[in-house]
Amino acid sequence: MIGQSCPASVANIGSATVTLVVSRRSLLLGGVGSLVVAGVGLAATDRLDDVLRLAGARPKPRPDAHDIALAENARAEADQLVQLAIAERAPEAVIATLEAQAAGLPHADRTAVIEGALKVACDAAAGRRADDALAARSSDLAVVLGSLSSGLAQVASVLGQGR
Amino acid sequence: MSSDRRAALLRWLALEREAVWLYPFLGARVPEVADRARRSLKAHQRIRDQLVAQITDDSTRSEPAYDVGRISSAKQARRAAQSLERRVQAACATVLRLSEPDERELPLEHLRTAALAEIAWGGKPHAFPGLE
Repeated sequence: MIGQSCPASVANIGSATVTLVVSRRSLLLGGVGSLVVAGVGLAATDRLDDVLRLAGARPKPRPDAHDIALAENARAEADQLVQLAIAERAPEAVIATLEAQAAGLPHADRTAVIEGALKVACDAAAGRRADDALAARSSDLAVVLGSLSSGLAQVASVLGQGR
Repeated sequence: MSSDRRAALLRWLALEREAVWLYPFLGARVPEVADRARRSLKAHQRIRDQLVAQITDDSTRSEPAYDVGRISSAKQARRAAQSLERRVQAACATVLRLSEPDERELPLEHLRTAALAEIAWGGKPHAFPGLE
C-alpha cells in the first residue's frame, strides 16, 4: 500500500545522513526517487501519522509540496531536452547524458516548454536547476539538482565546442 | 559549522592543494597543455584561498608531492587533470549535501566549475557530476 510505504521512504528525504562520499544511488533512490511515492501518498500520510502517534511511534518528516514540484519540474524539462536533442540530431554522448538525467529523476505528469537551440536550452536549464538547488528544502534534493545543473552545463559546453 | 561539513571542506581543500601542485607539473612536463594548465592553476589557487579563508584552525598542509603516475604525453596529462576534476566534483557534492541552504552557493558554484574544467580537459559529459 502506498500510504503505508510513505513514511519510511519520505524519511530519506528529510534526513541529513552523513556520508563521506555522496552516493548517487542512495540520493536518487532514497531522495528524489521516493518523491513520487511520497507525492501520491501525501494525503494518506496524515492519517498514517495519526496511527503512528497512537502506537507510540514518532512519524518521520516528509517532503513538502515545494520539493516535489522542483523534482517534477526538473524531470519534465529533462524529458523535453531529450526530445530536442533527438530532433537536433545531437551527438550520441549528449543524447545519452540527457537520457540518463531524465531516467534519474522521478516521473512527472506535467509537461515543460523548452524553446530554442539545444545548447541555449541546456544553459538555461542549468541555471534553473542551480536556482532550484539553492531553494530546495531537502539537502539530498539540493545535491541532486546541483549535480544535474553541472551535468547540463557540461552538455552545453560540449555542444559549444562542436564535439 | 558541523564537524562533518568541516571535515568535508578539509577534504575539498586537500584536493585544491593537490591541483595547485598538479597543474604546474603538467605544464612543465607537457608543453602542449601548458596554457590550459596555467588557467587551471589560477582557478584552483583562487578556490584554495577561498577555502583557507573559510576554514579556521586548519592545521593541514600540502603534500610535498602527489602520485599521478607517468605523465609524458598530452593524453596522459589530460587524463590526470580529468581525474582530479572529477574528485573535486565529488568533494563539492559532499560539501553541498552537508551545507545549510545559506551555505550552498560556494560548493554549488565550484561543482559546476570543476565539471566544466573536466570538459575543457577533454572529458565527456556526465549525467550527475560528483555523484558516483
